[in-house]
Amino acid sequence: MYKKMIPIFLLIIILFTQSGCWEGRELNARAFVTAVAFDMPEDPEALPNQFLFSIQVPIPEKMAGGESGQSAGGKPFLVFGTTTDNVLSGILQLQCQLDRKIFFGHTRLILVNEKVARIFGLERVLDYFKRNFRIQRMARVAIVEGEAREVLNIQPPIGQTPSTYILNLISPQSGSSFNYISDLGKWLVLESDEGIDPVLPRICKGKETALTGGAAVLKNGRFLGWLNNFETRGLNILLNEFTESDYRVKCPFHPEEIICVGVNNLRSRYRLVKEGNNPVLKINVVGRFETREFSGSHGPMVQLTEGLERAVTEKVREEIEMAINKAQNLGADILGVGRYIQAYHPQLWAKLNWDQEFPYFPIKLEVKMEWALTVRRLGA
Amino acid sequence: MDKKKFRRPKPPSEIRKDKEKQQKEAEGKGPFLRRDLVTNVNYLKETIGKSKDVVFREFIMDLTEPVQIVIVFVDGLAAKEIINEYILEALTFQGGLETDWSRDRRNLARNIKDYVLNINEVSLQSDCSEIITAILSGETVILIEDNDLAIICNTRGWEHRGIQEPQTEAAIRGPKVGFNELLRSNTAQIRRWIRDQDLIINTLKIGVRSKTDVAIVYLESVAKPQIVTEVEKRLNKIEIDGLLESAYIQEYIEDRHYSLFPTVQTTERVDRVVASILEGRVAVLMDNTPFALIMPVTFWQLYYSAEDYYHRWPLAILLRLIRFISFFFSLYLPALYLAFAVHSPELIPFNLAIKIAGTREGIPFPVFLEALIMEIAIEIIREASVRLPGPFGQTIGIVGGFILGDAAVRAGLISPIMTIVVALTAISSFTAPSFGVAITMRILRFPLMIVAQVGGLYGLSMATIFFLINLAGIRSFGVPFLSPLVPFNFSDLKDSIFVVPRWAMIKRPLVYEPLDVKREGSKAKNWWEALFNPPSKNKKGAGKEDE
Amino acid sequence: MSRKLRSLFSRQVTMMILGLTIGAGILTLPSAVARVFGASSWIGTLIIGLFFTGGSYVAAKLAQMFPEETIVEYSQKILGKYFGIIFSILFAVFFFSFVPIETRIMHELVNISLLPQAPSWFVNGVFILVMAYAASKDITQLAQVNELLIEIALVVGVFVSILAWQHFKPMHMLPVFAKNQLHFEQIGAEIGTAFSYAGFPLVNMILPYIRNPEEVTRATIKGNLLVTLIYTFFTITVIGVFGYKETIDLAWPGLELAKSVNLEAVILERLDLILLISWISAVFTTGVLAYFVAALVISKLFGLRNHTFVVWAMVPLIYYLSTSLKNYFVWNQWGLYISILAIIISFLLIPLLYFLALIKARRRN
Repeated sequence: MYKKMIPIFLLIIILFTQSGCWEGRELNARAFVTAVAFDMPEDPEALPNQFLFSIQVPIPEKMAGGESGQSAGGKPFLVFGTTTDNVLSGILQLQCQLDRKIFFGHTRLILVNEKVARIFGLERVLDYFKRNFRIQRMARVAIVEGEAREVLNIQPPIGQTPSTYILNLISPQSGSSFNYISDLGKWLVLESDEGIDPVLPRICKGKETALTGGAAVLKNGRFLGWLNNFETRGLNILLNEFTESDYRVKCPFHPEEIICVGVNNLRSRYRLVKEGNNPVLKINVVGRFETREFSGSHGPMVQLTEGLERAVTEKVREEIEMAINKAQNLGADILGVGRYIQAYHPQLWAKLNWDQEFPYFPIKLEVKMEWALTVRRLGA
Repeated sequence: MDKKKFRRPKPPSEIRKDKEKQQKEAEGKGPFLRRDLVTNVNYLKETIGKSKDVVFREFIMDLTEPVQIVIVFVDGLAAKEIINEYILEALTFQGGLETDWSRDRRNLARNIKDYVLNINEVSLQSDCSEIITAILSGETVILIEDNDLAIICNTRGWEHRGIQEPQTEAAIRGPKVGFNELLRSNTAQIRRWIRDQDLIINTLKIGVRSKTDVAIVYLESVAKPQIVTEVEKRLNKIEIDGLLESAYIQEYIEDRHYSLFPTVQTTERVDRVVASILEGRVAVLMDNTPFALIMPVTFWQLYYSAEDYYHRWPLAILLRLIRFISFFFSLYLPALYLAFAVHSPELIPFNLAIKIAGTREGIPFPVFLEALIMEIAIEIIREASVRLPGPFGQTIGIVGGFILGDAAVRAGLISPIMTIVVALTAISSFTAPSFGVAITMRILRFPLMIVAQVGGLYGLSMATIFFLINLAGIRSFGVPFLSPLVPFNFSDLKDSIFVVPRWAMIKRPLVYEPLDVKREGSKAKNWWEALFNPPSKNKKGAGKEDE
Repeated sequence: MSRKLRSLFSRQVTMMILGLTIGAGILTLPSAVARVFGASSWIGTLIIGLFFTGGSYVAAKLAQMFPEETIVEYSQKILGKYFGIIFSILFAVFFFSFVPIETRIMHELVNISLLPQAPSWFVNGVFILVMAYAASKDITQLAQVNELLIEIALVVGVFVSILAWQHFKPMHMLPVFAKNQLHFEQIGAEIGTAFSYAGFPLVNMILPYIRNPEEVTRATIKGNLLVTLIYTFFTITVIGVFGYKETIDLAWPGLELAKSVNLEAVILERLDLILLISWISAVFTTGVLAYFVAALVISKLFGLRNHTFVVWAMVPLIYYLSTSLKNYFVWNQWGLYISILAIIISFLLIPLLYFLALIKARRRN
């Protein structure tokens, strides 16, 4: 028995002599960073290699609600910023002003200004967050058109923290196909994968709310250009990340009337075929739509079928083609064509110099949309 | 004496007996009765007659020639009606009986036992120490002139509590009987449940002074003989002056004397004891206490309630699940909260974390101290409510728990989340089916809180591993404590975290290595096979054959 | 060896092989394999695993030839006294060297996530003491602890892997064996994988404690196949989710895997910490079993009746060694040495012993 007690005593002694304070802190002694933002420095004296690093910290007392919380006025969060040339020194500078330990365990949103993304590159500003173990790979990264810290300052119309508000706007639950859904982990994977360039969602500040839709094209971590809402939707279709969306087409019989159709399942498939000696990428998109709203005097009719299907097909093809053209114009393979070739045709891939060949690589698009009728009301 | 001896020579058999007695006395085995009544009575009066509750009743039995008789009993322990009606009446109203046996003065004791007494349990004894023990246990001793054998009649009968519903292990469904303080009544109850010839009730006396009756109860054809002999061996080893409660025995026969986990199960429910005997386990009952001991026991078994088997299986599964969850809560919840709040706040969802941080704003204590204060407070309240009589106890619980907690939160001394954590912990620990196991968790909670404060989740997991090492080492009478989980035993899983229907439990738990494995009549080999052959299906088939 | 000592079930033997083999290695394995095999890493994991399963078959057969003895005793019979002792020392060193490295990796894992600034004396000290406490117990108890802990670790690990499949991209597994992705010249990474696989020589030490020695071959092979299967499954998950290029860059692919999923329904946000907590037990089982075997070999060599003393005597040495592994690169180097030793023992020495034992047995007949 004596022998058995030795380790127990040793353990207890060790535990008691050092009642540990290694990074252990009370919850209310931490400053939870909910979001970070990168901007170009406002300070005119800033050095060319400096950027503005801001964090958003909620004020727990105002967030807690209940008896004491609501009465106090003002925003329930603070946005701090500092001019720095790397993230860690920025954090140190901010820490000097805060009595609470800056804590990144709950950081779920990283906003980067387009200029920062263009000049510094995402690789540089996000390096700290790649290595910090406390930050999840699920943290959402977005490129901001305009000042990123302004977006953090928006008081959300419903709900409390703007970070949650923006997070919800650019996560799958937003349900909009105008958004490209991505996060830190996905960006890292796409960045490392051969033959595909990453895309990140776009955010800008509206009058009082944040606006989403569209996406930023990146290559080697640097911002290249924007995709608009429709191009983003086309890209989502190509990458099979399309969830559900509505299209408006003209009525085949009455050009002045509009029919709204909803599409909720679209599949795209890449295929490499040889045309003569040249490889050509064929993209097959098949999907089904249903009619949801008619502006005119008639409802669904059997005569509509052919014309409507053609119109919707045309509409979808148009958007996808816009996305393909944009990608080829920018020279960034956001479509993952290279990745496809690399995976399924490694011999061909070995011969290609993809960066140079992608803008001219022949891509053929085939779209076929079918009318899957779900009827609640026939007639007008 | 010498003269008598000369006058009436002893038959050789008696000389041999006397020699034996002398030999035994030389060995120190207590004096034996003499043929002289006065010597015997004097001896008894010297030893136990100083107490006034020992009654010596002298009278003369009118046989061929009058015989002097003394009966000795303890007032209050012996049933007076029995003595009056069946001993005194039988012995005094013989009126000059002239039979063969009544002339044989030397064997009167045996003959009176055979011909006169109409008492059910009668024995002859010549060892004085045995006689004294018998008197002190409430039996009546009849000493007869010229006889060196005393008749011991079982006249035990004293005031005792009736059979009541067990207070500590309440159940919604199931028999509402518990043990009482009378060993015989308890063993009789077990007999009433198991009318099997193999049910062995083996009694021994433990305690140099208390000489308490202890009964070992088991099914001879089921229980593993090694376990039974081990129990007997350990019981015989006990050297103690007095046994007050079965806890005394428990502490003596436990496998791990320093372990926090009990390796012997205690219960006052008859059905529970009977169920364990049927499983091939051994029960030890003690006089003067309603709490029986059951051994061997596994860790999981401590968390089963008797009721689990009376409800239908879906409910039983739910109950077990809830009980294990609350076991986890009552042990770990405060420690986990500490570890999360102090070391790994990223594990708490953001909205919750910010809520907690908000409510903790301005609270003067660190989380650890807050938790410690609240835990100690709730232990105090609990102890107070147990000590106070019935209705007051509940009041204390409400006043202490509700008002004190609310006041502390309102005053900003304690954060509301901490009261939730502590209250949930306290309530969880009440789900333990018996008091003994709940205590283990109450004790362990405090060191775990310290560990969590110092080492966070790492410390907690190392502490858990440390517990598991200890748990895995425990064997209760040779049975691994954590079985059937480790060593893994698929057959015994039928009655572990989940419960299969009664008819599918076709085997007894294999951990106890019962001699007779099969329990039910089903033809299936295992419980999982039995699940596909519910009994009604079999009956239908049988019915068709009959047609 | 009396009958009384034979207390292990064959299921427990399988579990012990799982417990000893699966440890800290699995967290880094996909990264090492990806360096060599690229996108088709899972095939690499499978092939290496099958190799080691073959090795385990030989080891188990060898053990079965001497059902009453441990390798310390029969290696002296086969090789002669001096070579036998040298072999036994090598055997002990092999198992012993696992302990400081597992301790060091534990320290690293705890430091990067659970207690960022905890000093090594605390993390290592607690870990080593608890390990020593467990290793000083008898094998029955150890087997039970191991069974419990490794099951917890595996259930959580597989659960997290399955959750991560929502990010799985089949394209990451292609092309199979593309020339530009295979880097067989990375010998360090190749050999280093042996660190994650070599656990089966355990059988040669524990056979006298096994209830049914005739079942041991099956149990060993089952254990090693399970290890292979788990590794392959894990590699497929990691490569499928991250792609091989990102995997190479990751130090702890397993944890990153857990970081990229969450379970909104459960109150715990971070699965990586949950995985890590359960993985502490996997690392612990590896450490403690290796510790136990090393102590057993040494106590047998010195003819000690009880291994407890050896266990406690080794504590300071382990602590010293674990702190001397100052960073990732140093312990990776150390892991490489263990791997070389593992390959020598399991593919050279044990087959050699088996071969010699066969010859001796035939000659006797």
